[in-house]
Amino acid sequence: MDSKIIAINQRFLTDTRLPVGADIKKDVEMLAYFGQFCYKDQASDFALIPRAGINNLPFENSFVEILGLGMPAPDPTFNLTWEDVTDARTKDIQHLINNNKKIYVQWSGGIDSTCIVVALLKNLNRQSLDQITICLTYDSVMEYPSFYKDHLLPNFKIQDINEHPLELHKLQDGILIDGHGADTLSMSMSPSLDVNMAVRQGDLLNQSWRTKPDALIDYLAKVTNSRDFAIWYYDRISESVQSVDLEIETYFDFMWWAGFNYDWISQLFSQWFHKLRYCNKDFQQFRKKYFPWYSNADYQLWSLKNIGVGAKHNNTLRSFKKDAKKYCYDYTNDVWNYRYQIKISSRGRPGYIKTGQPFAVTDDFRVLDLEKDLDLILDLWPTHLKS
Amino acid sequence: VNSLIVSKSFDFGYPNFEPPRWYGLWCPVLDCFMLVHYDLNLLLEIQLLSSPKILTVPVELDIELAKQRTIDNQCCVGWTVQAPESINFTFVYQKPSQIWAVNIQPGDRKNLDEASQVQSWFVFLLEWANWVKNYPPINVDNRVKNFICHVMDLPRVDYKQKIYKILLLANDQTQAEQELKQLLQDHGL
Repeated sequence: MDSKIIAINQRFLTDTRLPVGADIKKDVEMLAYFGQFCYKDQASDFALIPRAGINNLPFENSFVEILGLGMPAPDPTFNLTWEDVTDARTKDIQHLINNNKKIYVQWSGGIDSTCIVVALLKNLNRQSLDQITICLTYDSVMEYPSFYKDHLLPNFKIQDINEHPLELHKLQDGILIDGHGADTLSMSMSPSLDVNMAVRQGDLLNQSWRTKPDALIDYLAKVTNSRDFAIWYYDRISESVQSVDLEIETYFDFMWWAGFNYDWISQLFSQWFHKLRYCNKDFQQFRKKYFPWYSNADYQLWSLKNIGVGAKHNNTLRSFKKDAKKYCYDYTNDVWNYRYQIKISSRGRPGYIKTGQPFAVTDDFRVLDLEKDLDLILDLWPTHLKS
Repeated sequence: VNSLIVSKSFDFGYPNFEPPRWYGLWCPVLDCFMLVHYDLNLLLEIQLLSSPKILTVPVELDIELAKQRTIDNQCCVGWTVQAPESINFTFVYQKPSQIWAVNIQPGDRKNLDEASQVQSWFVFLLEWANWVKNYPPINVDNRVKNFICHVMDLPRVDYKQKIYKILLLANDQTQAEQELKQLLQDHGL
């Protein structure tokens, strides 16, 4: 029995059958609470794992190395804009097309996937666009019907993946592109935190978490309905911020760092876990066919560089993801979209499979269910999670 | 007589004695109401029609506010929900059947002009959603034609589809008005 559990679904960590150590019980309860608060009835996410600074949660960091999804070191000389980085990203797609790859872009109709499509339209020629298929559902069309009519129908092959699911493993030269990771580049790990704050208390976003922690803790307690959680979250994230050399001062940047540091892994892992593990490919094989658009060094350096008041937003709900929205607006001239589109959970999570109670992943990328595989889970239970 | 009652959907023919209920579309971006109405289905259609342009959330209001004429479609942009954090609007499309019951309070007036401009689009949508709902009028000559063409799948114009497509895709009210005018003219309405 050589295999080892490398990731655990935080939502089910409080199950009493699991031998969780008394010294980490509080962390485990808070993580489970946060998972349920953030994602409600959504597909559950994997344990939060820091990529930089102190590791102050009860999980080992080997997952980061195994997946190769570490954080680049901040670069003070980095001066590319969102537009620069986005335009440059299309060169990678052009390279794939030049190597006879067929590109499948998952479009939800939201800001992130629309930004990807706009970049392709703006930078690739007709011959290259012909090698691209847009995968969507009726939910995607509902989200942005005019873009579908004016920009997708005339320019791309379209695949309704409710009718014809994308069987990537059967497409020898197929590459899937999606927008996973974009949220953690420019917002918090939990949209319910910063987004709700922006509705009526946008000024709070720019307050200092160091000198005025009380209002932040009060707000977190109110939104999550748990002062216990608010204090735990504040303590954990502030420890993390203080362990890195970044000028993270505002409430917003504090929440952004929580996502960018702790949630990046699960964002990038979720596509494989929730859908494509059924194609009988392990994560490393899957990665050869998967191109998460926002997961490269430049986007992350952009995110690390744009810290401070006004950098990623202007206090208001509508200003979140302002750079991506401006990028789209410059191409579409869609005033409604530019002024009023906000980050919400898209209607369509295309092709997601109900995964029961997936609980753990092993280092050979087997997925273990809490009910079916309990004995094996207990056998493999990581020692650092015991007392 | 009892043998007639074959299912839960049996219709006794009585009018609706249920107390009336009242709803609104709350807009998180502008933090105000865009519309209020007693007909939830009508509001939900307008929410769909407007959703590519701006997010709104259906909420239930206290019917007493309607009886007291506190808030209506003339002034609702000046009102908002009391506790926005209680509405999980980022997941509104994941739980489309959820209608939050809310209390209201006067809104922040700094966005009032912009909110009023946006609301004019919602009022326009309400006008046309009502038109579609009431078409064809019960006393028009072509009622039989509309009925039998619809039921027997004979050639006919699906006005609801055509009108809603215009409303969904229009960039602004002027463009929509022109296209709707043309549609009605083309079909002699």
